[in-house]
Amino acid sequence: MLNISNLTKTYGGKRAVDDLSLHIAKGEICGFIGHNGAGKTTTIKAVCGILEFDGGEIFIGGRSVKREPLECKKNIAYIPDNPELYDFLSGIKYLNFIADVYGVGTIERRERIHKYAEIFELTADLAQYISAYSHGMKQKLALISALIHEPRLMVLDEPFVGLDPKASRAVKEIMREKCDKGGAVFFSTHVLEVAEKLCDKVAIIKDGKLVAYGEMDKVRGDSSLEAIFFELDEGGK
Amino acid sequence: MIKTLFILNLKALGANFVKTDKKKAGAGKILLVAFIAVYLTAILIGMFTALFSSLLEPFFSMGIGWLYFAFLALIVFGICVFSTIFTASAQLFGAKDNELLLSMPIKPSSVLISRLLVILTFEYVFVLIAAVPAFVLWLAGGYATAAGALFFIIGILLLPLMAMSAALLLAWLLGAVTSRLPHKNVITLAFSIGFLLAYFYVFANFQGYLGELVSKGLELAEAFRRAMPMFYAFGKGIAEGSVGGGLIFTLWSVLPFTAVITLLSANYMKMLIVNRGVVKAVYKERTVKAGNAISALVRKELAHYWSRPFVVLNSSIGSLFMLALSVIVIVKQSDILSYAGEFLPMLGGLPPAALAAVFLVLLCATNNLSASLISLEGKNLWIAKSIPAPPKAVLLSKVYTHLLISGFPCLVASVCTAMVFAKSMEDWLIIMLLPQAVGTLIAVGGLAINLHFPKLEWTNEIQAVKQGWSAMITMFGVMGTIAGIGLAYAFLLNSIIPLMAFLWICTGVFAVATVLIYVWLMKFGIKKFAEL
Repeated sequence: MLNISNLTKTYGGKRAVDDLSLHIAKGEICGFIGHNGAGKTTTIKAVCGILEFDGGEIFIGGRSVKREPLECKKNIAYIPDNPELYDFLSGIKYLNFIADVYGVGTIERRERIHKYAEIFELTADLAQYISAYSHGMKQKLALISALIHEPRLMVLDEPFVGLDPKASRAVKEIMREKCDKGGAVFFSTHVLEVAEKLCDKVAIIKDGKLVAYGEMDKVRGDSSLEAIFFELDEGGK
Repeated sequence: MIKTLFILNLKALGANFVKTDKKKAGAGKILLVAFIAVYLTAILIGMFTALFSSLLEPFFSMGIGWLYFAFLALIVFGICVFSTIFTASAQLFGAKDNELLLSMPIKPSSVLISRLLVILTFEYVFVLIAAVPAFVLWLAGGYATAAGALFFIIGILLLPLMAMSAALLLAWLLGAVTSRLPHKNVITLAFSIGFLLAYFYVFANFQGYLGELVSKGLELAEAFRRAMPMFYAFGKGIAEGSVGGGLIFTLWSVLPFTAVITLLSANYMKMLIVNRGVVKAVYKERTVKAGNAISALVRKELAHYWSRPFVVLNSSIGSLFMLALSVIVIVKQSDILSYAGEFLPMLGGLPPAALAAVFLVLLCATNNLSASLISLEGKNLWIAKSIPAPPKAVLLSKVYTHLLISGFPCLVASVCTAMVFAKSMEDWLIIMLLPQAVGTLIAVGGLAINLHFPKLEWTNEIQAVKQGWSAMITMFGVMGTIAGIGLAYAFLLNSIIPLMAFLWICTGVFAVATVLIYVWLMKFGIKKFAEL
């Protein structure tokens, strides 16, 4: 579903992402871990086609993000680490805007908005302007908008920040459900326990380089993900 | 603490003018901003000099010299109040760092006073621009006394305090009235437009008022004295060196200001943290007709535009004037034609339709909305970049938005104007096409400039609209181009080519320039957009 090969992105003279390669197959959830400034968001933005990169290739469902960006974007859902939404629109108008842009039909959008707004308990607030939303409500709205076109690949940057426990559990269930239906999920997180329980694969990035990558059981071994993370982090110092 | 906060606020404001995203201001940019500031100041000083020189002699010769200064006070008061209401509201109650500062061990009154000082600093600049010409003319006229000059200095220092008291009360009232309403933007917009129309109505009739003021000076002076005793005191204190007048004005300024500041200081924290509870809109599920990406993007742009009164006022004031003009030319048709009959022979028989077209061009030229539409994306830019809509569609939606906001009122105004002034098919065509050619050129040109000079990092959208390089370059670029073309025709070409033919050539040149910039946008502009 997602194939990143030799991705390189340089800011000024600094390599933010250095020759990074990973592959996420259908049905897999891959957690992306690293300290602040390690290159997670840069990688995620490159995957979503909103950041040009210097070297390497990214394929989504076999299509190149560089050559066919629009086809790739139609198949993915992206949520940034801090979803700034159009606060001059109401929640429902924002969802309809996204549905129009993704070409979601009238019936389907109504069903999906109803379903996900109920799951995230946002139905009663959909007529409110986004400017009146809390951080968590914005995060929920961003999640609903990301799911409205039934994406095949979900790319989420810190999706659990600001969510209440019930919504967090709903997101985890939706992620698993998407994968069970042949989709895939690639998300970054600092919550190692969540990654450990939820992910089939894990990728650990440090200073732009992938320092560990593979199936969760193999990367973790007999230890915990936290122990491995700190071992890798301190090993490079 | 107040000093630190004051300097911080001033620095933030200065950086808005000279800094673009992630780049420090270069010497060139600082020089350009300084040049523009000097240029605008010179224009305003010239305007005030002309105004006060026409008032000085008549008033002082009639023995009502106080009215000269009362008039100055009234103008300064009006400018300061209008320029402060929305700034005060945004700075005091809407600043994004309010919560951060109030969470620190800083007195709320220090935060309040530091913000007020910034506003006051700008008010003093406005005051000086109006007061210095009035003062110099008064000195040169030989009417000045030492006591009067002393009161003038004291009065000018106190006048902004009085204006600020009124502005703060109005801002608080406006906030209190609109805070519970679901469509407060509409009310703010209506209020702003009402204020602006009243201002321009007074401005348009100013010569008439001046004439009346001079001819019925004594009668009006008495009415003025009764209606506005504070300005009478101001004028009397300066013109006659009256200690009583000076003291009364001091009380008029200091007492309300002290009362307002005391009240605000005591309640500032409460005003910021109180939640008046906006009426919650109820969501009713219903089926919405699906649309396409480009119409969704245009609808989004229009929703953004209408939600921000200051965007309407700062980037498309020409559209409001064009709509007002449409009504005026139809309702006052006979008056306009008779005025034109007197006025046009002075211009050597230039065709009325050509002049009408030029007038519409000037109104179109004040609309520079497209020059801030990229900047206004701000932190929402990720949405426009991550959706599966081609960058071309995103850019086109911004051009269409500008054309809808500027082009439609222009079309209405053109039809109404042509109904009055057009005598032939050519007249109709030039009135319809030339303003639209200029409007379309600004739509694509402004967007291209904004792609070059985006201001995506702002804390208040007004920075993207008013204080960005893009808006400034577009505004002065358009003004300079039109002035250059006008001067070239007036001094070089008018004997070679008739005005109508010249305007057709201009229309053609504008159309070609529009096509060229459009091609650039679709080829290179989309790359610039991807790099943002």
